[in-house]
Amino acid sequence: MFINYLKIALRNIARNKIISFINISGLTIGLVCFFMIALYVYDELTYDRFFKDSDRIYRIVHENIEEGGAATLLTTPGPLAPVLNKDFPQVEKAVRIWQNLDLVVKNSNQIQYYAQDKHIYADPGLFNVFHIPFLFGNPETALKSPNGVIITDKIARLFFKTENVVGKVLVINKEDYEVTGVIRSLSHHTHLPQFEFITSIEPVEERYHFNSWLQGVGVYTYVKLAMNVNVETFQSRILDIADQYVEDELDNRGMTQKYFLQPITDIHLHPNYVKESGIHSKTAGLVLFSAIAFLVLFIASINFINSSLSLAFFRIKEISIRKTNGANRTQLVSQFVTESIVISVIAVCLALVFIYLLTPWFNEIIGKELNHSTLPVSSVLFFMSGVVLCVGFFTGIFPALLIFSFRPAQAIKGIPLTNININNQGIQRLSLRKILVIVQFVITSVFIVALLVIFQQINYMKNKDLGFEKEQILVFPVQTVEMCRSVKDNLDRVKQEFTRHHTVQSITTHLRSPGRMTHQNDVFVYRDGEKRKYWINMQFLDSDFLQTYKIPILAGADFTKNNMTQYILNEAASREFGFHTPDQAIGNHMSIFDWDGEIVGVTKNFHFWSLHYSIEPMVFIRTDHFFPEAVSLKLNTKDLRETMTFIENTFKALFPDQPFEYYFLDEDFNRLYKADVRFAFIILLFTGTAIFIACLGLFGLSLLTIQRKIKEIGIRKVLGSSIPGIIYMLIKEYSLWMITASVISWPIAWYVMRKWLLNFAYRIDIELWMFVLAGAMTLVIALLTVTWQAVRAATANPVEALRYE
Amino acid sequence: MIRLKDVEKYYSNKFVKTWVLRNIDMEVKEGDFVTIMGPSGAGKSTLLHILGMLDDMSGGEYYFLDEPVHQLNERKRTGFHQQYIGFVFQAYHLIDELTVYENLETPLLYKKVKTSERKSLIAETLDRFNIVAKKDLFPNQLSGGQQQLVAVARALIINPKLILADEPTGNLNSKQGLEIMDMLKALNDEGTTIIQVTHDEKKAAYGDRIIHLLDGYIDKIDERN
Repeated sequence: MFINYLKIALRNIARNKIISFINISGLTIGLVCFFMIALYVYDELTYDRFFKDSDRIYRIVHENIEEGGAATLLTTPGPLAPVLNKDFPQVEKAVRIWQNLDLVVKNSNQIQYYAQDKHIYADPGLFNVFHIPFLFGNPETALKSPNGVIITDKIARLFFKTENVVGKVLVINKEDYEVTGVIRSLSHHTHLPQFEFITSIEPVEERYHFNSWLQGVGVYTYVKLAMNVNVETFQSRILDIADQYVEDELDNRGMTQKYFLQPITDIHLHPNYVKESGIHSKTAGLVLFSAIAFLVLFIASINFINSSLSLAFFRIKEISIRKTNGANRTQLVSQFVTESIVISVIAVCLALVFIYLLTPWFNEIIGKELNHSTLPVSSVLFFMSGVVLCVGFFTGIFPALLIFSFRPAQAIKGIPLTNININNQGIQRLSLRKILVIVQFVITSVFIVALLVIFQQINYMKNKDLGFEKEQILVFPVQTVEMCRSVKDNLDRVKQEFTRHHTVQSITTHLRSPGRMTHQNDVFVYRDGEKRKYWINMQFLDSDFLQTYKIPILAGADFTKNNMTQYILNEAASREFGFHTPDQAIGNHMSIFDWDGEIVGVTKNFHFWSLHYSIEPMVFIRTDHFFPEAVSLKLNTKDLRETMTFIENTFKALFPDQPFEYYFLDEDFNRLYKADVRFAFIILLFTGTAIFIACLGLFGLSLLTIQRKIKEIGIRKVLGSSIPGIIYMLIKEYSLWMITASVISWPIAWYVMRKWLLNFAYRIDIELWMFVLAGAMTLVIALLTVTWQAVRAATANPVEALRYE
Repeated sequence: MIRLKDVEKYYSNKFVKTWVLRNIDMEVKEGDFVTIMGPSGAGKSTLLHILGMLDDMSGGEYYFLDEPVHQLNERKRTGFHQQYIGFVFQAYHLIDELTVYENLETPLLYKKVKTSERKSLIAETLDRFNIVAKKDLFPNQLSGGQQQLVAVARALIINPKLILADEPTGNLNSKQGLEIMDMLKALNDEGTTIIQVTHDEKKAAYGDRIIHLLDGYIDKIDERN
């Protein structure tokens, strides 16, 4: 029986070539999209799960509450991990990790390697928490020696051309280290930094105050809990853990510290701190993508249902004969369902081939390393067959149900198929197909509106006046301690050297450039004889900063060129500190650490951070105490190459041992919108796909409906209708469908896109023209699809159509 | 075997009932060869379709082997098709996408006949109708007479108790027509009940009873024996 169904199915596919092509290609494209997104979602959901026992590993974050506000920090005070290891049997191992940003590595062969973010300090327990396999060396002892370094295979090959390099020596930041272990480069599928070097944390404990509960920058703390530990109980034990050790000191400072466990498998999707480094996708995005995946597949399935429904009209005779030969309902349903499952299977196989071919390209777009080879085969098969069965079943069941609703006698009497009255439900059936097509185009139209809104918003963000000039600013990060000293000690000379060239207008040193992470700290403000504390964003800089970035001053003046510590606020900070007008702020004193100084000016607000965020209070501090992390040059040139040559030469002369690395601020700033641009691109991709599939379906549908009207067209032409008249008759209906679809899509698109825009503190308004344009696009695309068919039918010789009737 | 009591059939739209059949009382015994005659639009085919359970009645009672068909559900009726009834149509109604062999196989598949038995039944039938050489051809590769032959073969393959034939020879030339009629007669002699619809007096003569329909009523019944 099944073989018979299969045979019929394959013959039908071969017989209706165009429709089969439309069905299979539409479904294939839909499935490719669906599986790609499924792969992406799966990837996002499984971050850090490759670590052994990942369900028992937690990062500890802490909240610091004091007068002036609370701050959630991803780090904890240094003593936490040792205390957990010593006093808590629930903890299998706790480990501290700290990232070193300055890294210059050399070896005796004079090979050099500079990198930021590639070096971590860690406790020896690192490998008890994170199971990272060693290629060479012993994980138990590798971090015990203060001068031991663990490197990745990549670094080993770079320096030594081989991997087994245990015992060899590397010079890291001018100190000799002995390689004690070689590991494989870490997978990108983790929130951990992509480190290449690991050394012991002990030598830097003093420097970074890792032994203090109250001082210092803090350290990342990870714990692996013992088996069967109740996480909630443990969480409640550590919530106030600091009180057990330093309660008095905390009380004296009016501080409270709360500690929280964060499962590492959650970190990727739920970064609890907005400005945490790294690109973090959010759950909402995943839900949205999943919804898109289902919608695209849904559109493809609708095609399939629609063409099967239309084809069913042509098969009424076949089905009638089968009924008179004794087919019962189940048998007929099985036949239809088998046919659509066969098509689904073909589509899935093709989709798999395409996925295989397209994954590298898709990876490039979304900036990931999706890899299907790591997926568990059984669940993939399960998933695939689930999709096949669902799609097959739902697309098969509709035509089957249609078929049931008529009595075979009519078809057998030889009534023309077009006139068959299916239990008086013919009209309603037609409207089912109409509804399906409209639904398809509603979805497509929503996509188009979304696309317009997204592109407008991105355009707006890239072009909005940020309150400072980001064009023609070249920044080079100060990467090493050595260079930092050199810049700080020879600041005047550095500035003179660079400004010798006429295209370099000004130069300034500061912490991080706009768009990069800002520094936050406590400041004290003296106002009306009172000392108040605020937790605030700050930027250390020299007196040329405002001028270089062309930030306008509202009140007071720019920094004066002396050695005094001076403060300039932005408007938001001035308001935060309680000054009613910018002028009131001028002349007051404030301090950070022990550096007391006068507020000399207030600037207009400007966007230090992307337009996702509203403008926050910010304090500029001019002081001799800070260590610059970046140097910015304002250029004014048409001949960039010549200027660059000059800058590079000057750089090499000033800092002979340092790597010349730089970026342009506008490009760097636009990096903040990378996720949005990527999102827009993915939407563009799916919009294109959705339009294509929907048009494919419309094409098939018009092919079939117009075929059924061939006789009517013939009669009309014999009666004297003109060709344009017939074309108009044929496409009029489709135009109405498209207009209906657009109108229905508008409120949906408006609602969805308004939600999306809420992600941005500064956003465009959704305007009427976007809807109208989207509607017009939908209409034009759809009519282009249909008109070809209509023209063909209208220009055919009517005698052909009528001869056989 | 078949008993109709006051069967009627009409189509209604909003305002008008169009009567197709009214007050039909008839009885067919096993082994009968009944002919239904009448002018176009008299309701012949509709009656045949009701007898074959392809169409619903609007009213009246229909007993098939003492089962009240008018009260049966779809599943039961399909069961009757599979077991007792074979159809032959004027337009043959073979499935165009299937070969002769597969067309013959279809009713057996629906009846869930086992593979081995199916094969032997088909082989036997092909042999009996002398169409073994045609078994892999598609209907459009056959002449009209050959197609009708296959259609009859297909109706017979389930060994039905009742054959319903709707102008079985209407599309055939006279020689082919005679062959088909002779075959039906032979089947009748073996005990199969046959009900045919025809315009043709000569073909009608093969039956032992002729029911004349006129405007939906039974006009008269000719008993020939």
